Amino acid sequence: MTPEPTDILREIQIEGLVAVAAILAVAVTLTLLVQRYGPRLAEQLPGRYRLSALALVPLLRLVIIATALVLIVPQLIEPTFENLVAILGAAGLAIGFALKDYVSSLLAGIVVIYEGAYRPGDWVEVEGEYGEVRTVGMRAMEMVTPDDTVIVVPHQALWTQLIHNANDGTQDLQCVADFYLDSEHDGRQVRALLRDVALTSPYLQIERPIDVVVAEQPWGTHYRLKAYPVDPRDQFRFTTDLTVRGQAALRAADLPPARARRPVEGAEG
Amino acid sequence: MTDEWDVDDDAIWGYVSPSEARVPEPPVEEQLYVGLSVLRAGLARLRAWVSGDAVPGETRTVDEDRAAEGGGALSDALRDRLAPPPDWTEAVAALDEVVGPDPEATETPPLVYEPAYHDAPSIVEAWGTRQDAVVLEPPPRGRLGEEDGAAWVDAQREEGAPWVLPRLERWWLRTPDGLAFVRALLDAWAAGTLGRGVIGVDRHAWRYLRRAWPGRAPRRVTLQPLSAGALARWFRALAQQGGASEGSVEERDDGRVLPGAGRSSEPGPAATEEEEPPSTFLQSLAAFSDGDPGVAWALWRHSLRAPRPATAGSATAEVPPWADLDRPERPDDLDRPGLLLLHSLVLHGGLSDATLAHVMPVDRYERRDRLRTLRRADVLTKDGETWRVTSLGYPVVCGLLRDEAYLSDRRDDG
Repeated sequence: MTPEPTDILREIQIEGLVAVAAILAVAVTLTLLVQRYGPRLAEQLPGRYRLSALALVPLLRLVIIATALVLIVPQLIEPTFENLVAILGAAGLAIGFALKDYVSSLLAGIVVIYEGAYRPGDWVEVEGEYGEVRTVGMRAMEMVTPDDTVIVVPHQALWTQLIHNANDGTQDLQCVADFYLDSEHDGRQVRALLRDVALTSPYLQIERPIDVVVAEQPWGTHYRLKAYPVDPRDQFRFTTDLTVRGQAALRAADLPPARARRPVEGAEG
Repeated sequence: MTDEWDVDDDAIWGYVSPSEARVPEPPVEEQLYVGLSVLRAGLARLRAWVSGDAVPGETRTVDEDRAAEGGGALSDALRDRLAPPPDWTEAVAALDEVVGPDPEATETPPLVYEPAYHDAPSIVEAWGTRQDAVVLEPPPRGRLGEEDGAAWVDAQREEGAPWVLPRLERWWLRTPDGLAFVRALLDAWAAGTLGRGVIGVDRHAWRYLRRAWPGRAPRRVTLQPLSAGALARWFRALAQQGGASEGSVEERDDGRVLPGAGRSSEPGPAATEEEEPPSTFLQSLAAFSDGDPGVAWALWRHSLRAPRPATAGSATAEVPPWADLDRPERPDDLDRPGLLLLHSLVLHGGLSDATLAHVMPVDRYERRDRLRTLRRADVLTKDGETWRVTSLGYPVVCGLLRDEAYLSDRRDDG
């Protein structure tokens, strides 16, 4: 049997409304402050602390909102078991019909913060779009692509999409530079040469490993030079530096690039 | 915290394994002060950013400036007497104990981490000169690609005679050719084909080269960082060499830093009630310079002021309180290219404009702009054609590189 609404809701006094308004005002102000100045404060910190500080921003906001809810609910509802069941039942019905996606994103947002699927400062790829996470809001996250385009991704994507996180809250983000050579060459020489190219990049985080992965293809040999920059934000400059200097070193060593193979005459069937 | 004032051992100089080297720590009150200053600076920066103003610098009134300066300028003659350039005699003797010529020795001599100071002969070079060893000169950096490191050394050394190679960081360039040159040199050195030779190197450069050179790790020794007590004894010895054996130095409003001859050379525990209380200036200096004698000496010399009339009778010179000491600070507007520039300069012990272009993928106008900015901040200096980190700016740069996750000079992993 559903209780009468008058039994669920408290008899709201003017003091209660004022308290609710005050809690809301404080929560909104704190949330805005954290949202606005948290990332900027993090930018003022030394590089190795930046990502940790950025990751605190959504967590702080969640704590503020949760605290506000805990304080507001008893102001409006008699906190008995029956009342809570009735309220949650009604809310569930409304959510099920009208606000399903929105609430799904809100819940996914909480899971994102709890599980750390992505944080501000992470470099992620969602549905083929790659960029740096700028903010993690309650419903969605914003990421900025290398072309300076902002993409809003609802957290709901967490349930259905693969989310590729390149640095996962750390400074370690692997970059890959590709090189394509004709098969006729000394592979050990090329590996050593490419390794030196990475070692001599000013962007290199030398404490992380450098690797050269080789794959033989029908058209030639594919080299992948893998290394880490000191700062993930330098990833494109780093990859460019590796590519430009790597190509120059290969040219200087007279190592021929892969050429598109022409079809052999008379080979068509 | 290590309180070096309590150490009874009078030895100033000693070489130890890098893992045994203890970097002096600052006084507790300075750690608190630095913590509060960082917080205050961060808040000021945030406030300036919020209001859209320029980042505020330290603003002092004229009176505060005068107070910070303490007494007037010290004459060059008195400065030279109180803090003459070091000749490293004692340091060389200490180095001799670990790398001295031993005809029976079969193992490769150790690699010596050199202090950072660039304006005086290196200790390894001074040791080589006293041993009549051949002091090797590096090739011009532009020719590294055409030369072989082992052949270059072989051409300069004399058969059977020892040689020294001071400042290995000036013998390479962060390019594939530069790496090939220094690898060939180190391979031959480690294999013993170049005879007995001692190599000195900056700690930053060696940590980098160690990642690039997979040869057998040599034994390494480093100068034991100078504690406050060691600095006091060394500065006193320098003043005696300079002819100012009676000279004493006080910290403005905070007691004795360096007593004159005849008074205790250990200001801390030896101070009597009649004497002024000891100052923590040298403890701060030792911690700031990481115990590096070159940096500490440069900052000590820089900090000396003429005594105010009130203390002129008891002191030959005075130093301002550590917090008021005018020294390079972290540039507020340092960006990524600036950091890359500083890292490159530290790794190579200085670079010319032309060689910087080889190791820095930064537009030359941008590079020139950063160089000028850092020179204005007294972090860089131009010595002929070569840009170097200043002795006073060296601790600042090391701190920046550590904070920004570049290869740290404090760890020693072979």
